Amino acid sequence: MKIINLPIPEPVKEILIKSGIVELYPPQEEAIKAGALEGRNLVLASPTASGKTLVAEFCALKHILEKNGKIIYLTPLRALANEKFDEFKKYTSIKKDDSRRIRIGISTGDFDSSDPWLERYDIIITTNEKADSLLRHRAKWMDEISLVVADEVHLLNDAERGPTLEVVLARLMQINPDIQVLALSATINNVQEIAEWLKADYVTTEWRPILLKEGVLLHEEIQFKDGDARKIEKETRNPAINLALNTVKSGGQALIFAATRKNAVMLAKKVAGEIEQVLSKPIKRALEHEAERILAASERTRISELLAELVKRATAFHHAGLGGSHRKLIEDSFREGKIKVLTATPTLAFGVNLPARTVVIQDYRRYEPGYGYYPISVLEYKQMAGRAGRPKYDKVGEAILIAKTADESDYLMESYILAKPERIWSRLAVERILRSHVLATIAADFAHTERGIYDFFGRTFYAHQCEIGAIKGIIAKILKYVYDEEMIDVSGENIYATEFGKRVSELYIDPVSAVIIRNALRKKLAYITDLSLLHMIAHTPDMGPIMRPYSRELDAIAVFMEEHKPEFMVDAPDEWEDRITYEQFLGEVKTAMVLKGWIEEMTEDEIIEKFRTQPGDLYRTIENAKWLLYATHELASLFGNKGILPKTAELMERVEKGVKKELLPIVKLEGIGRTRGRILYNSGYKTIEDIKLASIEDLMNLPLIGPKLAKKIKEQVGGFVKKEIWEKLEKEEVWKQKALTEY
Amino acid sequence: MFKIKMADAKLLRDMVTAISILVDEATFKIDQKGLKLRAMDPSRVAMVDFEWPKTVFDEYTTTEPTKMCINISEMLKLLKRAGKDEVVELSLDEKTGKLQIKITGKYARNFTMPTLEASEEEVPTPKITFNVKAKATTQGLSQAIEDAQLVSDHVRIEADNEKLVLNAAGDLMGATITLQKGSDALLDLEAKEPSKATFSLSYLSEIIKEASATSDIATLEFSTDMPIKLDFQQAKEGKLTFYLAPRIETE
Repeated sequence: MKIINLPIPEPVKEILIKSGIVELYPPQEEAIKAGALEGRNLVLASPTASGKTLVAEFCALKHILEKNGKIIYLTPLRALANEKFDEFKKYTSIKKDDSRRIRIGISTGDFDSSDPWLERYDIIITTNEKADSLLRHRAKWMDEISLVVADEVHLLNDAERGPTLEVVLARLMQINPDIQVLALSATINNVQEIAEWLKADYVTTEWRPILLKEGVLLHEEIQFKDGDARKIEKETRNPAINLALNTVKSGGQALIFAATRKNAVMLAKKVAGEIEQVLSKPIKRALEHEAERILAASERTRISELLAELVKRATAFHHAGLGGSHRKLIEDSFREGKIKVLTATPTLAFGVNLPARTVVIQDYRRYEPGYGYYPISVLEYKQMAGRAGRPKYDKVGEAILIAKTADESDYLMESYILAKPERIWSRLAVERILRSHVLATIAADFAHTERGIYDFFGRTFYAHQCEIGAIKGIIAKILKYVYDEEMIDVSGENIYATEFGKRVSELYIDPVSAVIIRNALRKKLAYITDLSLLHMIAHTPDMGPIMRPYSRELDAIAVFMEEHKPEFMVDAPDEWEDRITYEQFLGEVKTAMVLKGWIEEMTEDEIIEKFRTQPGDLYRTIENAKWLLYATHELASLFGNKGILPKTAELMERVEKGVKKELLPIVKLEGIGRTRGRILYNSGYKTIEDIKLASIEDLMNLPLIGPKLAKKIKEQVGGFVKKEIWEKLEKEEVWKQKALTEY
Repeated sequence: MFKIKMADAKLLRDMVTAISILVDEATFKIDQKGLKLRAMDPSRVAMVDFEWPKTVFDEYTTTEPTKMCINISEMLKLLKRAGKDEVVELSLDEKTGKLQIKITGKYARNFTMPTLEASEEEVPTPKITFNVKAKATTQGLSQAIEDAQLVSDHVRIEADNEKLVLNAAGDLMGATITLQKGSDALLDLEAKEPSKATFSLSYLSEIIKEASATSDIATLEFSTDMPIKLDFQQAKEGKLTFYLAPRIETE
């Protein structure tokens, strides 16, 4: 089937053909035959890189140009939303009937807003969580959606993200019964079941653009699924590294999945030690530049220095402990072929698309803090293996598991390579997760009777797979809880959300968090400090990632806790009564200590050193703290607790910027963060007025503030600058090396 | 399958050295007409366009068009073993997929090395209208670049119908090198309009230094703030051309 013959709008064909897409891949053909272009609901299950997104593009543009429709595109991760946004951007040159251009919008942030501005967009790309929060705000434009694309729908199986996705789909189908649903999924066992739930047809294929060879390495020999075998050179004692080096020597890239972050880092260090000799001068020249970008991307820490050192040797690690900007840089330079070996934790397999010629699964076990090691699922294995083979660069992709003994080799072949992926199960039936969805169902007017609530949950994937009866008990328990906590009110048959309940639903927090915040606000403490609030939010179930105190720091945290006892808004559990709860509590105190360190201007490196917390975790803690402080602020104003508002507002800002109170006025300037803000302050520029009066030469001479930034500061604050100096600065040459591909 | 032979190993070695400045894995296309390579450096700042018709070789047989990708620095290590006036022969063993390098002279050496998976990426030629065309000796050019390198890591190249000027400005020092039209170094110069562009010296100096070993005369073509094209005239038939993207002033 050729693009030119498809029943899609002409300008779309033109854009695709121009970009080199002429012929459809088999899964795309099947999706079209199944009626995707005629508005039929469809589940398309097919491997990574088999072209599922293009089917979504066809449908989306048909909806816009032929039916005046509106599309919402759901992805599980922010990074994926950005990826899709970039892919859809190519269509913004097309004009619609009303002679306006097609507009693509992306919205992934702020959960407490209905984003009315999104109304102007034709395609809205968003995360499942953001879509859920938009539904809670009953954004008006959501009633106009004619097509929903749900990407990576196999994540229904994910304990955290799955339930949100099924609730969002159920709600969208409820508000708009004529909506077309297009669900994209990896190959899974029970596609049919998902299709039945969505009232959809389904297409499932194993087709891949590049041949995938799966095998197990035992000692120096790879045994492939198809019966082939190959010896590899033994260069080190680590088989994963040997595989990677072999691939790099033959001109490919390797991706190694390790069980833990620590293992990923260790492996990367070892690879870097071995790879040097195979790197050529041109590639080293390119890598120097990449390393500089890594160092410039954030505050300098031992982690960014290590990463830069590794990148110079074409190696890097990738895990959730890295900050977003570093992850993005690593992903880009791996895609550009500069980084040759990437070690990663399994989370990468569920994230952005980073194919490599060889995928090595060093450990088929996965480590979860608090649970220990457990074997990965076949579905997870298939996701990792599916990353093997780079379109346009590789003819064959190889995915290799590593065995230590012949028995283990047989086990891996049987249980992973030859095994079928597991069925996907709904993860909705958990009280902690259902709680906020039950409240939202009432608060956002999806149902106003007990029966209506059961009706709604009767439309979920859970109800389709199991029986709504099985969660009636949990729902009833939740209703009682939110009633007792005054989030809902009942009159006869009807159930209404109170102001409190409505706000909790909109703020996108767990009702339990809301109760903790409310109770804390009611408490009359002698004095409320930063620590009081930071600890209180750390105590809510919405704070994450959970920090576990290391055994050597337990005592120090306990001492800190005793010293600051009067400041806590939540009572500490008894150490001897319940040890587990007690240690959990210490973990919350630790989170509060980390946040306190952050707003007292400890450097990132000091935080890493003192708390052994990695930047990625720190940034996520900060994100969550900002959101929970905002919720605290909003609830305090709802309850008329005016006294605390200045405090919460200030703390929110300090957590966002990571500064002491005195820096708040100057870090408002663009280009001034916590580090430069401190430099200005300590040099005597304590207010905007001081900076306005400062001479530009003096600013330029401060460390980390060059002519360019000094000029930018002056543009913002004003003040007098000598004409000659300003003109010289205007002329200040900033050079940029262009790429040949730009011509 | 192919087999090619060259009586002068040095010629091949110099050419591979010139290519190795930019490329670590090189995909050669070999067909009835000859040997070709077009590739960009990993940073995508420069590209090399190389062609040797079969007449350059002393023996050239090929059955069907072939693509062969090799690690260029590995190949260079082997080629460096060849002395002056030794004969070098390259052939691809189809069964093993290995490249054989046979060097004969004082004694016979037979190396094999693996070939890599060829990249399918097509490298397009940048589309540029050039306003300046200058013909210079590679020797003169090398010296001018060396001068500039003493003071800076980038150089501005400027030309009108009279002269070609290299301007290098470092943090503290500066240099201006002028090549007059018709001088020993600058054989010819045509400028449709006066033009200037700035380039990274680390690329420019290596390209000129290594390519000079294969050529005495180079043709430079450029326009204001556009990539430069450096064509190194070959003693026998064939072509060795480099493109280098400029550094642009922003804001």
